[in-house]
Amino acid sequence: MLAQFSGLTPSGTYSVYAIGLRFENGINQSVTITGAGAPVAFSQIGPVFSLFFNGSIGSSSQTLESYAVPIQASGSGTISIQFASGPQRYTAAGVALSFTPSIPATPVPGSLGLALIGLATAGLFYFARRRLL
Amino acid sequence: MHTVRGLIVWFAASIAAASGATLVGVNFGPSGSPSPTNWTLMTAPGTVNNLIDSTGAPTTVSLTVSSMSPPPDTFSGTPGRRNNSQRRADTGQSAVELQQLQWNATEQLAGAILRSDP
Repeated sequence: MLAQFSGLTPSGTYSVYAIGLRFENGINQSVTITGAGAPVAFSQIGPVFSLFFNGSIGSSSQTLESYAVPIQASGSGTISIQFASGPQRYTAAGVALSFTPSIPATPVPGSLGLALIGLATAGLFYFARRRLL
Repeated sequence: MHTVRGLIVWFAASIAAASGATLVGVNFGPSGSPSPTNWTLMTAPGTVNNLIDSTGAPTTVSLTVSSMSPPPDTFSGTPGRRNNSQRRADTGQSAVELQQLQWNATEQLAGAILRSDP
């Protein structure tokens, strides 16, 4: 099975998740994610009811982001995820990706700008406090 | 003081926006399958355009799912929600831990699987 994301930012870097799960007999399949660079391949092999996020069985002690596979989108803005059968048939529960940073509602200043805003805020606090005293 | 408060709110909002990431998620399964909030349920191979992100906003992202060998793909309506004891037995994780992951989605995703026929 091939799942291809399109409409991505060309050459942009995304966190990609290939989610695998099987209720019967365990899971044994391979996943290949392809973007701009060399394909990233891994296996999803585990006992019945294993819920895989990319190459690892999910654990509530970790964040979703900790399972991310960073993939650079192709020049045409695509990332493909291929699930292929191993000894067991493949089972794909879902796919996801995230892009960082998110599109902000307002322009986000750079680090220097943030530092200056912080200083300005501190200054306003100082003067406001002096006026209240 | 209103100006100061306004600046603080904007400052905090800007940092939050700078550190945030927007997730686009698709789960596979039959029509009516429970889906995680703001995930898109895909019920058959094909293309879904303008997927929504985790905030519910439409994006420019599309997903095309096509069959590969060995065809055909089938969408299976396997059990969605199970009780807590089964959940623990199935995943080795407690319901509380699953909530910590914010993945009620795990159970919901579990109810929707795209699989290959042997």
